[in-house]
Amino acid sequence: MINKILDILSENNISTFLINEDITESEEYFFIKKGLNVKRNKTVTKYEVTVYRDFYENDQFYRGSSSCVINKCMSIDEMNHAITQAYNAAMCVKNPYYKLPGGTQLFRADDNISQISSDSQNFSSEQIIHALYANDTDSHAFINSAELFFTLSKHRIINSNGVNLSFSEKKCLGEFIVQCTTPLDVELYESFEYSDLNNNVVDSLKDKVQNMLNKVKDRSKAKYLPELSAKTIILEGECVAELFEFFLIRSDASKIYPKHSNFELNHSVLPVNMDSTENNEKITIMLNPDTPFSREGIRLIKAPLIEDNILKCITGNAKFSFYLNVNPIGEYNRYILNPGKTSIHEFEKAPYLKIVNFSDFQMDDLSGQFGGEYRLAYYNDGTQSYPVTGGSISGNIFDIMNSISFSSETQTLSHYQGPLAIRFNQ
Amino acid sequence: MSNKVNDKVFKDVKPLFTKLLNQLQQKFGNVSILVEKSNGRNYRVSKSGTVIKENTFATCGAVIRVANNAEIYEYSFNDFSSDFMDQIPDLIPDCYASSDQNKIVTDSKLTFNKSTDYEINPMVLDDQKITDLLSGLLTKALKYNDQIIDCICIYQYLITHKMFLSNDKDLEQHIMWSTGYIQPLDSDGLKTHYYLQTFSKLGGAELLDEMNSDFSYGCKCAIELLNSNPPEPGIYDVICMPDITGLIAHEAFGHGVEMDMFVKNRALAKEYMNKQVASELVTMHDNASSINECATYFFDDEGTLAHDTVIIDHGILKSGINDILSSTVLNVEPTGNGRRESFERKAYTRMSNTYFESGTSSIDEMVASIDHGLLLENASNGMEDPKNWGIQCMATIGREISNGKLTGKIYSPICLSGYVPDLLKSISMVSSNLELCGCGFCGKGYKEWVKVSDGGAAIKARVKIS
Repeated sequence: MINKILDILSENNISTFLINEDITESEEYFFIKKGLNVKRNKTVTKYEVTVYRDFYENDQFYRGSSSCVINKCMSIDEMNHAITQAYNAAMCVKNPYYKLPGGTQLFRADDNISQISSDSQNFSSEQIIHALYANDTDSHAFINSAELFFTLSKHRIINSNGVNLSFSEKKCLGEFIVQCTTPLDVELYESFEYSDLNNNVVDSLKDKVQNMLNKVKDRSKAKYLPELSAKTIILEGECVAELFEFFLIRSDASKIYPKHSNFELNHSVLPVNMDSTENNEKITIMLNPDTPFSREGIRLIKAPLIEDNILKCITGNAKFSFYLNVNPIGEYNRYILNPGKTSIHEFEKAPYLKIVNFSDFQMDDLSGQFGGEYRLAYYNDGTQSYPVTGGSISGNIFDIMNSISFSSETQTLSHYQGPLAIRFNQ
Repeated sequence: MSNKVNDKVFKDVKPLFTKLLNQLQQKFGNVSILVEKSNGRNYRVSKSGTVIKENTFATCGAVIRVANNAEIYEYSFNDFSSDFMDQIPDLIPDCYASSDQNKIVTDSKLTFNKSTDYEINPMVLDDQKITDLLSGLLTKALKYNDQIIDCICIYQYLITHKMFLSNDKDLEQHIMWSTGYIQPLDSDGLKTHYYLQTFSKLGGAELLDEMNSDFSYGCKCAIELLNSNPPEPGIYDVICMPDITGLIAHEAFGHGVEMDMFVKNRALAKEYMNKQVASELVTMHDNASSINECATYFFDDEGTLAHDTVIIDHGILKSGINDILSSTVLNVEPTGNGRRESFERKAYTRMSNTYFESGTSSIDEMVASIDHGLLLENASNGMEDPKNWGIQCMATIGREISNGKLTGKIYSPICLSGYVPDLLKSISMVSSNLELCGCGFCGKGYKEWVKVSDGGAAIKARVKIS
C-alpha cells in the first residue's frame, strides 16, 4: 500500500508529504459477571497521508497542508481522489512557512526501531483475565462486568525529508464495574491500561481490583450528604493526574503560540504572588513518553519539563515549535510529577474531606477550573472518619496552589506517575 | 433546493459481501454484515492558523457478526480484496459454528436504500469559500472587543454510508450531517475564558449561512465571562435553557434507560417501569426516525429500523431503549438503538436524538416566577450514574434572577448535580419552544463515541448548584 501511495504522490507531483501507517490487530472480550458475552477480533490497516504545499501570496510565503485517511479497502481511484483533494485543500491553508522534521541530526532516514514489543511475553490475555477475577470472591461485592482489549499496533512513519521509522506496541486496555449489593446496591467504575513499559502487570491488576472492591463496599455504606463541605480537601487517585495534566497541556507550543497559555520558557508557571511563598510545594514534572516517536517522526525524550515551577522546555509539533523558535521535541501525554514529603496519614491529622472517586472529574485546560460530583469520599469531623457520597467540589488550580501539598505515597497510571494524593485548603 | 445524498456507493462492493454472506451462512448461524463507508472534512480557523483534515469519524470497513447458543463473535476488517475475503470464513473460530438455539431476533425480510437531504454539498463547495467564511468570523470576533484574544471557528461534515446484509435484510442508508462551532476566548491575564456557540443540522454546507448570521452572541457571552465567579453553593430555582434541558434528558433518563445496563443489573430504571419518575409536565423521547438532527438514521448498526421511543410519558417511565442483544435477553421489542462508534467497535445500546417535549410557558413567564435563582445556558458536559441515579451537568453560564428579573450578573462555571427523580419531579414549568442540538458526541462510560443530539424545551426546576 505504501508503494501505491508513493506512486500516487509522485504522479501528482506532490513532493512534500508525511505518511503514517497504522496496523492494528486486537482481541476483545466482553464479560457479564464472569461469563463471556461477546468476543471480537479486529485487523485494520490505515494510512494517514499529510500533503504540504508551499506558495507565495501577497509577498507572504506559506506552507499549507491537509490530510486524508487511506483505508486498505480503497481502490486506486478512491485513493487518488482523496490525496488530490487534500492537496487542493492545502492551497487554502495559509499558514506561515515552517520546517518539517528531517534533514537535521534529529532525524535519520535509516532510523529503524526494532519490533520492540510484538514478541513480548510481558502479559497474555489468559494471565490478565485470571488476574482480573483473582480477587472476585465475595458474593456481595463483585465484578459486575468487564471489557478487555488486547492490541498489537505496528506504526511506520515516512516523510519526504527522509524520515523512515517503525515501531510496534502491545497494550492491554480494560475497564470493569464493581458492584456491592448490601447494605445499599451501588457500583463504581475503573479503567486500566498496561503496555510493555509496565512491570508486574498481573499483580498491579489484582491490587487494582481489590482496591475497587474495598471502595465499593465503602460506597455501599456511605452517608448521602450532598451539602457537606470542609476547609481541608484531600484528592486521591486518578483525579490528581487529571488535575496536573493542566501544566503539561499548557506547556505545549500549540497553546503558547496563540496565547491560550501564558507559560514562558525559564519562567515560573505560577503567577508571581503564588511563586514567592517559601512554603509552597514546588512543581517538578518530567516528560515520560510512551512511544519512541511522535506522529511526525520526532524522537520523544524523557526530559525535565518543569523544575521547581520553572518551565524548562516547550513541547510541541514541528509547526508551532518553529513559530516559537524552539527545538521541536514532539507532543506528550505521559508525565511524572515529583511527589512530596508528607504522608497521607499526616494529611489526615486535621478535619478533612478526602475524595477518592468522582462521577466525572473535570479539568478545563483553558481556565484552570476543576470539579465534579463525588461518588465516594471520607469525611473526618475531628473525631471520626466515615464514608460519604453525593457531594461535589469545584475550584481553580491557581486558587489552590498557595496551600497545596503532595503526598509522599505515589501511584502509577497509564499516563502518570506521581503523588497518590494532594491536600489543599478551600 | 433539496438534494439526496448519493446512494450508489456500495454498487461495486455489494457482490463481494453478498458472496461472503452466503459463504458464512454455510457454516455459521445468525450471520450479519455491516459495511461502513464514511467521509467528511474538518475545517478549523483560529489565530493558530488554518487546518483542513479528514473528519475524525471518517472510516471504511466491515464487521461480521455470528452467534452460537452462548456467545456472540465479531470480526472487524478493512481489507476488501477477494484474496482476503475468501479467507474470512476460516478466521472465525469453529466454536461459533451454526446452532439453531437462541437465534437473534430479526424483523421480517426487508430491503431498502434511503438517503437524507441536503441543500449544499460540502464535497463540491470550494475549500477556499469555507476557509474564507471561517476566517471572516475570526476577524469579526477579534474586532468585536479588544479583550477577545482568539476565536476558534470550525465547520465539519460527515457523510455516512452503511449497508446491512443478513438472511432477511438488505438495507442501505446514506446520511449527511454538519456541525459548526464558534469559540471566542478572552483572558484576564491568568485565566482564559471561553464561550462555545454551536450549530448543527442534518444537511450540508448551508449550515455556514447560519453560522455567519449568528456569530456575535458568543462574543458577547465571552466578554461577560471575564467578570464571572462561581455561584455560592446551594439549592436554587433554575431555568434550564434547551441545551441544558437536553443534557439533563441525556444524562438522567437517556443513559438511565439503556437496556444493556438492565441486562447487567446496572440501571435502577429497570425497577421503575410504569412508575412516576418525573413531574407530569415531562414527556421524553429518543427519536432516531422522525426528527431531523445529526443522530437521525433509518436503521441502526444491527439492522433494526429506527424508532421514536417515548421514554417518559407525562412523568411515567414507559420504555427503555435497546440494542438487539439486550432486547432478546429481556424479551422486549427492539427499539433500534444498537450503535457502534465505527465498524471497528462493538455495538451497545445508545441514544439518538433525545429530548423533552415542549410545554406552554414562555421564558418571560418562567423568569418572572422566580424570586431568587439562575437561568442556566451553554451546556458543556455531563455524567450519568444509572445505578444510583446521580447526575452531574456542567454549564458555562448562570444568569442571576432576582425578584422575577434577570439582574445582568452572571456566574461561571455552574456544576448542577443531584438525585435524578428529585430533579425531574421538581420541574414546574416547561416552555413552548423546542430546540435540539447535535454538536456533541456521547460516550459509553469514557469511550465508544457516537453522534447524538439532545434538547427540548426550557424547564424550570429546583436543583443543587456548586
